[in-house]
Amino acid sequence: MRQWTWWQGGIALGILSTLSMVLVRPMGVSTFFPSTLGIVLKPLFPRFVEANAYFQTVPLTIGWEHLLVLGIPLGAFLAYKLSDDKSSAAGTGLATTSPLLTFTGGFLILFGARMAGGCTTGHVLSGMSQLSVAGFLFATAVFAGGIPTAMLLKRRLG
Amino acid sequence: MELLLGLVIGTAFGFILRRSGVASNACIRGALSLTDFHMLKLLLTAVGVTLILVFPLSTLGIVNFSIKSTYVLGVVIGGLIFGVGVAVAGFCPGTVLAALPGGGRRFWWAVAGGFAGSFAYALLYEPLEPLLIRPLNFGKLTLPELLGLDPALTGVGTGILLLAAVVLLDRVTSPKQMQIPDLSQIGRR
Repeated sequence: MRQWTWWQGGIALGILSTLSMVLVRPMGVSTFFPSTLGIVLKPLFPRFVEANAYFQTVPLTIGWEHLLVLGIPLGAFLAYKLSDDKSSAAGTGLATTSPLLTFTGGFLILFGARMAGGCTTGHVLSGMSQLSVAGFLFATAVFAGGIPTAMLLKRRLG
Repeated sequence: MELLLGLVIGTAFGFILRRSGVASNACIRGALSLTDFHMLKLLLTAVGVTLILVFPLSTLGIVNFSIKSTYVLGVVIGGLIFGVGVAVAGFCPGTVLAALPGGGRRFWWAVAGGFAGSFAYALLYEPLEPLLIRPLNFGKLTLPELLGLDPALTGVGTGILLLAAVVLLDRVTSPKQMQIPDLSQIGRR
């Protein structure tokens, strides 16, 4: 099977996001990170988790968002197995990036997403699709922060 | 039931992200350096299609909306930090997870960074909350509420506008059509 074009992927994603809102609720990914952290830390450091104000704002039991996020690599694995091109685009690009830079990027992404209350999925895909003002505001800020950084990195790393 | 639906929807989500090639840092960096519009076009198409489907369905009362609060400072500063992170890592939370299978060990560093970033935010939440979340907090605000418009009409209208913008973006940015061969050059090869 060949890679989908932007409109094939976009229509499929639009139908999926609609189904999600009708059957359960809008999709979101970034809550998974602090929520999983809270679930893991709670039996180890119960007093710390109970005293931390932020962990009280995220679900501390396994719910639909965890299964949704675990499904992502599963579905990606299926797509990977079905594709003709095993050296798919996902394997390239980071060769020029050190583990430290990748780690730092991941750190900033989730720090920012938790501050804003969502990521590309929750704020943009789901949020803008509900005409949420926060979604439009978030998308604008992401490009305002991301475009200069990407331009700068392109010069440095080539 | 909800858990099973989560797994099914998540699997379909990961499949679409990977199959359409957006689970790639080259693609996402390209989007932010304004050289590759594949991801932007895909995302805007998805938002446009959802708007056109969801708002008519919502008049039947079968859509579970879940609007996030608009606290201007936290959303904007968080978005700026998020944008910098996406450019540095070449991923957002969903696409990095879709890049994991067959994608090499490096991607796990981004996931580890994500857990560390969430932990850091949990530690800083108490001092940050009165500065970034409480002021300028408009609650669950939507565009039709802000502008005093009909939700269904605004939803479908915005969806159509977005799809038109995507088609226009595609026309403007896609490589130019094959040029008519220059006859004077043919004999010279």
